[in-house]
Amino acid sequence: MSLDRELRVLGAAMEWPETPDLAAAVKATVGIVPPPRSRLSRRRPVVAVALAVLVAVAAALAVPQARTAILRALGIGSVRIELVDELPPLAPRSDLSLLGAPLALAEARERFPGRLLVPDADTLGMPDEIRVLDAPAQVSYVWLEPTGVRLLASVISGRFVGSSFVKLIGPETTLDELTVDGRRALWITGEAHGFGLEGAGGADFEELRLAGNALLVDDDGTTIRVEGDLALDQAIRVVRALR
Amino acid sequence: MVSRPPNERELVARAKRGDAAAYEELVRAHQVIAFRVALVAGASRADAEEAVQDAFVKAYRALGRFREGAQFRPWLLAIVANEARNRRRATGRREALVDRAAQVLSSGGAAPSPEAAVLARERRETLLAGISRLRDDDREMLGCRFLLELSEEETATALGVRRGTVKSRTARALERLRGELAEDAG
Repeated sequence: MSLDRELRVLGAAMEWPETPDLAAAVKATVGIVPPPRSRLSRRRPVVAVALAVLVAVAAALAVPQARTAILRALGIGSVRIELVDELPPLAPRSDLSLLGAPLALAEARERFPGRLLVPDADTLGMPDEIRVLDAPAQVSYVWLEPTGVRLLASVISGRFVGSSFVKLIGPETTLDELTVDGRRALWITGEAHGFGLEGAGGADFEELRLAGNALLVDDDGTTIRVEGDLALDQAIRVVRALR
Repeated sequence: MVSRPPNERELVARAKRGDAAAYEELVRAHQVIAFRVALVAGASRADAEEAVQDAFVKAYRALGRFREGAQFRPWLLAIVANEARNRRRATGRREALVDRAAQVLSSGGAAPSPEAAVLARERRETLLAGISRLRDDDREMLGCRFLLELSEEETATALGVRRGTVKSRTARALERLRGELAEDAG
């Protein structure tokens, strides 16, 4: 019998622990409030907010113009930027599950489509963890400190695979457009903003997490994302150290 | 006239409108597979229960973003798997499948099911021990594909990977399991 067949037989033979009946408890919790409005119904306020912050954003972007110009700017590489009137409840996460499974660099290289940018250890030191997502393809280099993540540098493939990253930005966050060595970039600072993965089902799985200042750079289709408690010049140094 | 039971799409639509009773039906329909996915993801039984309950609540709150026409089950299972992983990491507890299975395999003295009879008890324990020693992503992949018999498409959505990746990762995980079993035999 083949191994996969054996596993199927094993699965059918297993007497799993009895499943607790959660329906009543879940109903009691969710029965209090209806689910949030649908994506379609949320679009209008998002656009309204985009317009409301038009002046501030336009000043930051130095792209004074019409709403379409601004909206076009709200996205870079594989990351979609969504301006929202109010961030959903977010909490800093100590786990890094959103970044995928921890792997060795060799395996990360193997999985990443195209050439993988790797941090220069002399400049940045060795990352404490390398985490890999397959869809969308992303390799994240993580430097830790006792209280959590000190620095996060991610390289995201430009190949679209049906799910994408979304960054939510509230009205108190500043968005600056700039170039880093000729590459288009967005620098996001100010109040907390969320970063999450939008899945095939259309949900973000509520995996949004607080991000520190963030620099997003479009490197010829590949997106570089650097996040942490960094000033712009420090973030740029990190981007330049990815080779 | 007997009224037709609502289908899943209808239940989702009603739940989106705030019908908690409709959502309760969805929970009942999927709580068993959700609980098992949480166990496969390495959560202890107690953590799995909490993870699944939280996942159902989070899924409800995220219904507004659920794409019409998409499959509810894999979308839900992705949330469940994520919750279970988070709890496993947060608590540092990981209950080995083999421990849990050893309990159920030794429970009672009843005649084995036809499925169990096909595979000798010792072999079942060996397989479970091998699976439990695999790294987390391998265990989740083999657990979803074979122990829970999720389709490739469902597994891809539940584990957040591409369908092609399910194939390649399954093959690699099986290879690593063979290695584990060979070590056992040696």
